[in-house]
Amino acid sequence: MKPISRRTVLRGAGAAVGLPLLEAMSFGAQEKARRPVRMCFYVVGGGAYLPYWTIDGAAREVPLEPKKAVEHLGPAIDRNEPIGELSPSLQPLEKVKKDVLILGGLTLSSAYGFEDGHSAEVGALLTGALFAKDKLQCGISVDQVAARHFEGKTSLDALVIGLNGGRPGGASGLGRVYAQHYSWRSATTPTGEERNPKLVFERLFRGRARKSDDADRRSVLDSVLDEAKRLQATVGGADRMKLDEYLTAVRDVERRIEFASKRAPDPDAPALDEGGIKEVEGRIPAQKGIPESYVDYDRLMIDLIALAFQTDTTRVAMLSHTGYRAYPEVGVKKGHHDLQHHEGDPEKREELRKIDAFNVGLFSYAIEKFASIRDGEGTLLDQSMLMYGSGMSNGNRHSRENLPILLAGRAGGTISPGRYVDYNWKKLTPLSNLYVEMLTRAGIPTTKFGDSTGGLAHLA
Amino acid sequence: MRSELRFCALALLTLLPAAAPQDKPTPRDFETRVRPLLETYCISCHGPKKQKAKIDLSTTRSEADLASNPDLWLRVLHQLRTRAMPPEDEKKQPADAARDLLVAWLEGALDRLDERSPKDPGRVTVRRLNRAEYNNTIRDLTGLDLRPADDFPADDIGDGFDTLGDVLSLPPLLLERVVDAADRVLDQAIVAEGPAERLEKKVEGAALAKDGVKDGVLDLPLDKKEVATKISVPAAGRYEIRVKASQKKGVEGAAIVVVTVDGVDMALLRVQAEQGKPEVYSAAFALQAGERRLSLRHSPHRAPNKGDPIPDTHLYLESYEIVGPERSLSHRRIFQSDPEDRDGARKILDRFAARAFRRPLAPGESDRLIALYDDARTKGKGFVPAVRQGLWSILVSPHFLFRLERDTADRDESGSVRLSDWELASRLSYFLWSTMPDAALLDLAARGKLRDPAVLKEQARRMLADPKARALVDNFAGQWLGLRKLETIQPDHGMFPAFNETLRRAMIEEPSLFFERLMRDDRSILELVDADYTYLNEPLAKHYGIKDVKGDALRRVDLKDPNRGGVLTMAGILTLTSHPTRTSAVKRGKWILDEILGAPPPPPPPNVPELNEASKDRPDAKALSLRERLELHRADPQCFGCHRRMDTLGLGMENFDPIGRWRENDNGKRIDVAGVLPTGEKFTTPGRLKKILAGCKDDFARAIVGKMLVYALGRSIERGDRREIQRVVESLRRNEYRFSTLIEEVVVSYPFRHRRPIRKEESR
Repeated sequence: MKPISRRTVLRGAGAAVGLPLLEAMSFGAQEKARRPVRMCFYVVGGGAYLPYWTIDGAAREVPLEPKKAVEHLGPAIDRNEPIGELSPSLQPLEKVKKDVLILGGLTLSSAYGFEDGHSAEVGALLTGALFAKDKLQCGISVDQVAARHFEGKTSLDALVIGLNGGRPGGASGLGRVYAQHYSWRSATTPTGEERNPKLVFERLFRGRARKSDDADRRSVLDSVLDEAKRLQATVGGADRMKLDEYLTAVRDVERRIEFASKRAPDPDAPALDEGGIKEVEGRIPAQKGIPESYVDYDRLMIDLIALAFQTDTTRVAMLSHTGYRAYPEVGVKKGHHDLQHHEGDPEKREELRKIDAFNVGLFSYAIEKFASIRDGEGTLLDQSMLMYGSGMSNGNRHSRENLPILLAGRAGGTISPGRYVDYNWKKLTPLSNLYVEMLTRAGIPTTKFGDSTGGLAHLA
Repeated sequence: MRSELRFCALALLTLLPAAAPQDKPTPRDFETRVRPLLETYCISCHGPKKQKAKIDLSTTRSEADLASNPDLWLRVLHQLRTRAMPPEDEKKQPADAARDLLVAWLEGALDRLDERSPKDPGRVTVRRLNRAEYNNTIRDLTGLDLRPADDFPADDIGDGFDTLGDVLSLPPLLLERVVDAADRVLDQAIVAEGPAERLEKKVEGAALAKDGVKDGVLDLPLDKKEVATKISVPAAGRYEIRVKASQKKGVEGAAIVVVTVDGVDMALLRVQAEQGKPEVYSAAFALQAGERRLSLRHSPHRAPNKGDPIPDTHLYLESYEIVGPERSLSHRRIFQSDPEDRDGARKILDRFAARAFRRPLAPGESDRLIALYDDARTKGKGFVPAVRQGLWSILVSPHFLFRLERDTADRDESGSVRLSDWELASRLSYFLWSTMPDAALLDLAARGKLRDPAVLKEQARRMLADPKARALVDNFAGQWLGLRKLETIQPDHGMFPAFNETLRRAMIEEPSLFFERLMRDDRSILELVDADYTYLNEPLAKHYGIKDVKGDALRRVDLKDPNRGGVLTMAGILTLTSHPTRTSAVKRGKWILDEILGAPPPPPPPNVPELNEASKDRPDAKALSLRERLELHRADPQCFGCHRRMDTLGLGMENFDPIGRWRENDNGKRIDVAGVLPTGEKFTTPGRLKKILAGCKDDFARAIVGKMLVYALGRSIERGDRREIQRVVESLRRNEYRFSTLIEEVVVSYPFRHRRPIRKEESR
């Protein structure tokens, strides 16, 4: 039997695929020593209530008095120690604490400066960029730096997903754009997020077998591209930039088609978990495509990302959670934004703890999921970096120091998790330094990203 | 009245609590009165010795010098108005009178400069069709309402609207969806050759149901049972359902039949014929090929709330029938009766492209399209599939996806590009209809008539009367009033069980319908601020405490209570400007400043102390009312200026609870809405406050003209627009503030008909 290309399998995966085919494919996929390192950014809006988040227990006792709670930015300390007792908000990590680094003391201090704290919280988190006020100008985000690197190596350069829900309104004018987008394909073009699991699934596994087949599409797109290039040469200023976006997008679609039409079998292709794909597909509501329950919605997206990584359809993912909603799942009726500005009110602070713990709980599901999937000699978690983070710390003050950051996974053995590392927020170590390390570990040697000042110690 | 006008001027011009300046400084006052103030308060930091923020104001030696950097002086004006300058820690602070003088001079000087300088229409960045526009354009291009853009990523919003060229980006994910949409649209719109199988299935009489059929008629009970049949759909396309039915005699309204395929609601029929005189009701929808289950059910008008009585409606079903595919319509529209050869293909492609691109084809475009046809034919494709290649390329072309406007050599005396007739047709159409121009507009463009302002106005009036102008309600009013956000807002269920989906729909529909009727009946825009009527249905009327409104349909209701009336007191807006569990005086006050007075407060300075912190020394901190806590907050000089205005206005609306119901008490305490405006005017009820606001005619007009211009042009307001906005406001004043005047003046405005050509230095 001829080895089956992964593309063929991906195309058919939505329909019934017989097991023998899968075995034929995995026969070609003799385990190679080096499996790719994947990156997933799990981002959450609204910061965290630091006194309940921070690992340092002493920090919890003092600042519960309202005045201090308003100000609280957590302890300014240097730490590098095994995780002992978890803080209240991090309790859901109990089962996976050997797989996680709790990173304290990182900041986005040079990235803020826009008039509205909540725009900066979103737009700056993955870019480390200071935005322009008078025109749309952010910075390329870390997931997209990686996406550019893997372009043409995988079917999708990155999966960029956001769950439905409110986003901060943001300042007037352009502020609202910065408040909507974590992922930026370039400094001026937001990547755009997938919201619907059904569409994500189709994009991953249905292939694009339609009436005008791939060859037709390519020849027509070539002609359209030629015309657009001629057109672009005749316009100026911002119009030229918009047409440039168009040209980039057409080339991107062409590249996907070209990738899909490579018929050569890929010896690196990992074994497909046909049952797993079916199981995930079965959980997608047929009509709307979006599960009613937020927890199901989130888990479905995590499972889709895991499948995409497992099948090497992509190596980069971003999953954003807006945070600007009530959390009926844990009995929180007030809107998150209202609670962030808690003004020291103990009841509101308790509700914030519930929200933070809820989000961490969802993240710990992702960790367990990745740990349950075999990849090469180890697990997908061993080959991945899953970052959890928010672009604010103390929402009450729109603070950007001491951000709540977690990093799970072993990045192919280059990270040793299970520790609490604090970089002392008074030293203002940029979060971007972490991205320098993550990109390098993903095989993209990097010395500078966003507002980085170097690398980051104590990850290994 | 006089004092009301004073407040208005104040709201717009300045954030100062002091009285409005009475004198209007002239250019000659610069040397004697203005310059000394600049020397005293500004030039020590922004002068020859120090240039903080790289600003030197000393080089301006006369009013005429403003012309060298008007944007800088606009910033100065903003800094003065908002009291951001001189900084708080500066000891030398101008007295209010001095600050007022500077503001008044700068306002006047900038106006005078505008009058002298050449007209600047601004430059709109090329506009990508947004989701609503894409859906509507596909609908008008093919005749099929497929809404493919519902799967596109959300459009970004700038300055409150999703029509801004600068923020409508085109990431690869969106283009991927556009490419898929092109396939989906063509799959539905055209049919490969060969007479396809047809589906024709009729169910009647005893076959309708196992039991309950009497004399060939089935009395289908409400929502309990459905009738269903299996159908084999031979090919993707549009199918028509025809239902012969009647309803119980003497029932007001209609009996509703929901048509479902495989569990998805496809169409809704409103049966009004009375028993014994059945009629055929039909609808068409798109289906994919395959075995499907078609079903009909008799549905109530809305989801019943617990405890509602079951309405006494009856549906008498005699037959239903499905036929199709009815694909010839869109197919014929595209292919017409052109011969199936190369010449025919060229005609078909040229015709479709000219409509999709909303202009005649440029030289070479036709050849490029036919080349795609030729290429497909040489690869052995049939006629229709080969033409399809060309059609597909049109649907992914930048000429279709973007509204391109070119810098032609056709310039006016100020050097601005005069938009072509075709460009004007698109601007008009996307402004008022959110879709491509219709045949009448394209015809006028072809005849070179649209550049005549009289024709533009006449077309605007025609278009406002067309059903498609509902797009202006959904897309302009929907975003201006924030109604889209009402779709997802969630007041706390435990505290406000009255807020249910029925009420939500009515809350969205009330302002929409109010705006639509105002537009259709060409009433005064001032009624948006204060009116003695509104549109209510039974649930919303109950919510407002108004009796004798029955049924689910909204209808006009005269209001007797002066506290209700105008968008400001509609439940939807009041809910939008509240937190889930409580009202927000700040949000409501800000809303009034933003939307009614057009005087948005600047964003709060960073590191503002919190409410509780300000009250920390008070032993009774916990027991303070919202009003008292806000007063403490305002004790901070940084916050005072803006919050005094926001809070006073917002607290004036406290009689409306977080979901817009009237209340006299909050937490057992009597609500005190009384307030004094910076001018000294007093009010004791929301109705009285509303009357004062309604007196601010020009401020409101200026606010809504600005919003309308942003929406219509697809760019932010620029300095050069000040003069045009003022012109529209004056015309409104002369024409009783009629809605049609607003629209007509916008479409003949200078920036609507011109564009600034690219300067050499910007060209790359």
